[in-house]
Amino acid sequence: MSARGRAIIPFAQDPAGRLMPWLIGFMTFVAGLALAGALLLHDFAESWSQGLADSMTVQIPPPADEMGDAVAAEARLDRAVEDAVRILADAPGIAAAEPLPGSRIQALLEPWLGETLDPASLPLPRLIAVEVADMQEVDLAVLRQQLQTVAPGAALDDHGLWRARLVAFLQSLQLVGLAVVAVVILAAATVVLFATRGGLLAHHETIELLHLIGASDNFIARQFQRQALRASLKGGLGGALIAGLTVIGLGYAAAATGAELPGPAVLDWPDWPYLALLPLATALLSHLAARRTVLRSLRRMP
Amino acid sequence: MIRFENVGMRYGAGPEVLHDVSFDLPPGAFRFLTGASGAGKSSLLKLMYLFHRPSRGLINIFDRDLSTLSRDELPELRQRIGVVFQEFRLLDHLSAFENVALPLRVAGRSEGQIRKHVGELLEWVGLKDHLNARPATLSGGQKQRVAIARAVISRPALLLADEPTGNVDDRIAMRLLYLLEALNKQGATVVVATHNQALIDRFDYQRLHLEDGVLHAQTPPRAPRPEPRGGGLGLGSRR
Repeated sequence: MSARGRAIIPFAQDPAGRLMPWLIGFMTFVAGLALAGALLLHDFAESWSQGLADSMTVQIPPPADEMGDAVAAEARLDRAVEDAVRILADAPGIAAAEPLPGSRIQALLEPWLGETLDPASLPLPRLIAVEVADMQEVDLAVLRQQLQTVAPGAALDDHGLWRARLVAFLQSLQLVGLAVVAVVILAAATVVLFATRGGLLAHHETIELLHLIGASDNFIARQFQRQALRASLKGGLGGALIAGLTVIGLGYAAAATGAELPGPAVLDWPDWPYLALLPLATALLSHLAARRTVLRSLRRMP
Repeated sequence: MIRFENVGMRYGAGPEVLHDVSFDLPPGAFRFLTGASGAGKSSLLKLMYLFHRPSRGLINIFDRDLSTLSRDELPELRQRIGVVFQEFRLLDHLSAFENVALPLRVAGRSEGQIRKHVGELLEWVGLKDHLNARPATLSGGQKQRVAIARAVISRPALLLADEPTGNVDDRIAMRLLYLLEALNKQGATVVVATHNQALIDRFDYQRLHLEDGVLHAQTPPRAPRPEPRGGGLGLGSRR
């Protein structure tokens, strides 16, 4: 910009230059949503993973002769559950062990068995919900062995496999989100590249004149860099702001439904700086793209 | 200052437009570059203001051999050359002040220096009341003076003018030549390309004459030039 506020190269007269902030703004908005999605998935993965790591489930199957004497079998199952709960409660690293009531088990099975079938008529296993205080202290092998002594066939599920699969799935989604962010930022840089090429053509005579009065390639490149930086910041900040407001709005809308969400509905505070960095990253890349494009083009001039 | 040795020039793969051009231009010289339209005057000037490189031969400017210069070294040399283009080539979106200030901005001068020097120079060429005028609002003569001011603002050692009198009437053309003469007296080497023979004949400077791309022997001065009549350009010393 010259001293009197007028650009040496009249970018304002350039249609591609005028469109650039809008295009970059839209792209930053899309990238912002993708980034917010990736960050939310990260928070989800952490929240779920932590929740699953803090709990285990013990499943005690009904005795094999349950069909012969139902009452005796039920009593043996009750004893097995009580013994298992005692073993679990005494084990190091375990905070609490609580048998799931029959009604809860029925509720869990209802989606599969339907309401018409009486779950009590089926030989259902008993479940014990175990709350872990410190997973490091829990010796799963010893615990499984001890449970086998009081309840043959008992299964201790530490959710490790489920947790690993869930985290892997969420991480894949996160990567997809981050890839979208990268692609959109690169697309924004490409927009700058083509707008800069258009600007070089549109302002060819001005650039030639600047060369003739002794302007270096760097001087001319700086004019384009500033223009790209201004347009990118203008569009990028606008796009990121709208993306941020959209994310907040969606979070509140999700919270307002009253549904129990498996993770946070709104981005955590430490996530927001990443969203704020997005327009800066776009502006920096645009700045570099403009510089590279101009310098490469000017190299072909005399 | 400038030495051409057997210089040939062509545009791309086209025919040669300058053939075996050789001449010396000492510091402080004033030369007319003459010849009919299409004789190669503009092409020769383009070589002199480093817009083109020769297809053959040697060019030495400011004691630098052009063939050994890298592209990055050209801006510094171009800043020592002022050019008045045939069509002025003013930037329409900038004021007269900003057009004249361009070479100083390119050279990285401070805003204070720019304000001082550009203001003085525009006053010197009689445009102090048109500092903020856009080129579109200026007359042909005023545009020409802005173009000249831009060419001389950084006090170039070499001043080149390509048909500077082509778009103005004889009265303004004479004033322009007196202005160029004044700049020459202040130390600039001046080359003026023109095919206005009547105008040239009123000055006794040597000529470089081009005919079909061939530079002919420098013709001796002819009739003595007339005394300048007051032209309102403020040709007194500005320094």
